[in-house]
Amino acid sequence: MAVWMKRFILARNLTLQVEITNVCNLNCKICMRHGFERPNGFLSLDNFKRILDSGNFRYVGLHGWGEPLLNKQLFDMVRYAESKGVSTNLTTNGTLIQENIDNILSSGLWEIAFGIYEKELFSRVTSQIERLIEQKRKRNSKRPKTYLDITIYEGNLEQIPELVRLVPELGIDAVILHRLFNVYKVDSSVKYISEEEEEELFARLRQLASLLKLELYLPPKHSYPCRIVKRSIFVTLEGKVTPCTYLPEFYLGDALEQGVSKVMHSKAYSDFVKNMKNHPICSKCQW
Amino acid sequence: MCAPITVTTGGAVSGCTGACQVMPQILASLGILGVLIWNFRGLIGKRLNFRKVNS
Repeated sequence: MAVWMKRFILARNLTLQVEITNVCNLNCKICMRHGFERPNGFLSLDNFKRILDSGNFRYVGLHGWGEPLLNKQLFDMVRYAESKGVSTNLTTNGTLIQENIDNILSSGLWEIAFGIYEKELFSRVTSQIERLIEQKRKRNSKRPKTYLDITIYEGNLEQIPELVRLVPELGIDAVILHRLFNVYKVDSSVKYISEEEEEELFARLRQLASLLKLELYLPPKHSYPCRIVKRSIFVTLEGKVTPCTYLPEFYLGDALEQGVSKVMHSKAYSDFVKNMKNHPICSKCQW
Repeated sequence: MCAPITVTTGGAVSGCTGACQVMPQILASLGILGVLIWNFRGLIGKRLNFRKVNS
């Protein structure tokens, strides 16, 4: 079967998110990985293949609660997924781009996001992002599409417009903003902004985006089932299937034993989706 | 980290933001349309001929 046929016609519009590592070289205060008691490790290429082949997906997100560029088999996974007609994407903290530029550009990776939450961290990685984009231009390559992915919280409210202004200067293709997840296993001192502040910020960013001719993605109003559950399924490093990246310990089945598709057709999964509104964590989540 | 890019963008992948997202639905609709035209080909043919004679 032609790869394009699988990519655009036969695949279900669903993203498989696979946690290819839970090891990270940063210690971000907004991240929930501090709260986990799971052993650290890396997903093997063989297990990745088994997980990917156990369902019909259009996209695969190669990151979880760790830095994906630390997994030495990452680009073999990208090549494998692309050969199967599954579009690949990942979110990185940007600190390891320099040593991976060639692989990022030649592996066939479709999309890459630089996940940030404060200006200081971003300024540490901008030179690496610039080098990647410069190389991409030199090779006249369209892939991967680049995004700046900003987590909104109380502490960076004033910095966000400034960060967004940097995007066209750096040559990044688009900006994604999403709300902070601070329901459990996170530093409780990290707070989200108020509804009024959010409204004001989004209006300001919309204006800025139209002025700068920027592709901007703002989070819609939260609803149930939420967009994460509607559009994706998460598989942990251990091969456990959970409905969302923010529920890494809410296991619904085993991807390596049962396969992802079977878990998604299970009663446990449909019951979760039906009762999401009353779930102790989902009911408080605004992502 | 966070949810995949395609969750936030709705799956708009590198240049394909429109028709590719609903390609299965488009193909199915074209198929149904084809079957309908085939089924009513006699009627459609007569109607077209009738118009031709009167014009």
